[in-house]
Amino acid sequence: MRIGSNGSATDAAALRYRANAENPAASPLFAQIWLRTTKQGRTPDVILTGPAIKAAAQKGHIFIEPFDEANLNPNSYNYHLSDRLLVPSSAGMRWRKVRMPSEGFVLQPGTIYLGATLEQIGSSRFVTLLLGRSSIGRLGIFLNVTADLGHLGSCSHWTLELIAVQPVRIYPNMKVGQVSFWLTDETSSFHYAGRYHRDFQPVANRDHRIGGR
Amino acid sequence: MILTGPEIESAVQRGDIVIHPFRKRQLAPNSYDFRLGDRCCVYTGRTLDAGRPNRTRTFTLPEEGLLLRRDRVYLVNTQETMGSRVFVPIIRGRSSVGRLGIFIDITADLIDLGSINQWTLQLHAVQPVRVYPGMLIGQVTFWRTYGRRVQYDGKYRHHKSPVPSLSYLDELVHHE
Repeated sequence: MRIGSNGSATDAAALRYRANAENPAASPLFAQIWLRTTKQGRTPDVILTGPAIKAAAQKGHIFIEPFDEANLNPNSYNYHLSDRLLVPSSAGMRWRKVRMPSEGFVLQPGTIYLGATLEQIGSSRFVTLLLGRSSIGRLGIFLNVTADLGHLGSCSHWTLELIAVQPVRIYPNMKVGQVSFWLTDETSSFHYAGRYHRDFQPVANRDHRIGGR
Repeated sequence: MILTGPEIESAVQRGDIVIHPFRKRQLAPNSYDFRLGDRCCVYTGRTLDAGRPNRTRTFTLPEEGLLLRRDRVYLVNTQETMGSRVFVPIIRGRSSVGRLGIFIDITADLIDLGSINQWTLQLHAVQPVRVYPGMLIGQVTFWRTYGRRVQYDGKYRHHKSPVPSLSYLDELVHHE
């Protein structure tokens, strides 16, 4: 169990998350919501509001670390850019590790850069979708290349696929994107165990193997 | 779930969704087609900076259209004023526009509840292509929410679209 770095708040959140991840059937959230809403004669709700994201994080249904209420939006949560970048080298598909200085780093068009979220993000209850913020889109920066869908149970620093339309200077720790969370029937699914998965331990980008979705 | 076309129409009539002007013929089975506005904002410098204001130039899209270059971002308003305090809007391009290699947003398709405005589209062309004011450019879908609803109160609220990036107003976070 190595979610987070240290500190009891992180460990407690990680334990709550782990307990929920291991036994989603203990309180089948989707089934309750489905029943309640269909009884009221309407179709179920799907996207979590900001207050619902906060409640889910407190209950351990969503893992965001570090979590700061200031990053809640009406229906998403803002994530930040870590200072680690992988830059393609000119000699084929080799990646060069770059640590962005506080003065920033200029992305050039015509190439892809891999970045990572500062936060570890994941959920075994809700499907996570990753997107950029409009402030970043307005600067012509793509945050992913048509790969915005997260897997249930995956929890990591997300890899960002940065593409710039015009040269643009970016900075470590800046707010770059948002994640939204979507209801699903989690009891009828299985959890992600693909090659970017390490038993809820993210592949830290500090060893420059960028984590997964 | 996702609202159907008829549900979008009744939500507009109830006032739960704002689409103005609303034209029934732009209603699709599970979305609403919106049009490109006529105000365009481009950055005058070649290299942009996320940490400070970037100079821009705003002009009216001519009737004979504007040829989009591949190496620029074009910020253009939607013709319609749209938004909802009840359902979450998500925008995307129409497939006819995607087939021309035009992006209408740059990984920023999710709209906040309560953001009721002419939205700023981020146009980007894969190859040079001409666009026209008033053309059908994108679709908006509406999604039911789970949880208590709060409304958008962000930095673009009081601006007239199209608005360049205000990312320089964000503070950087410093975690240990």
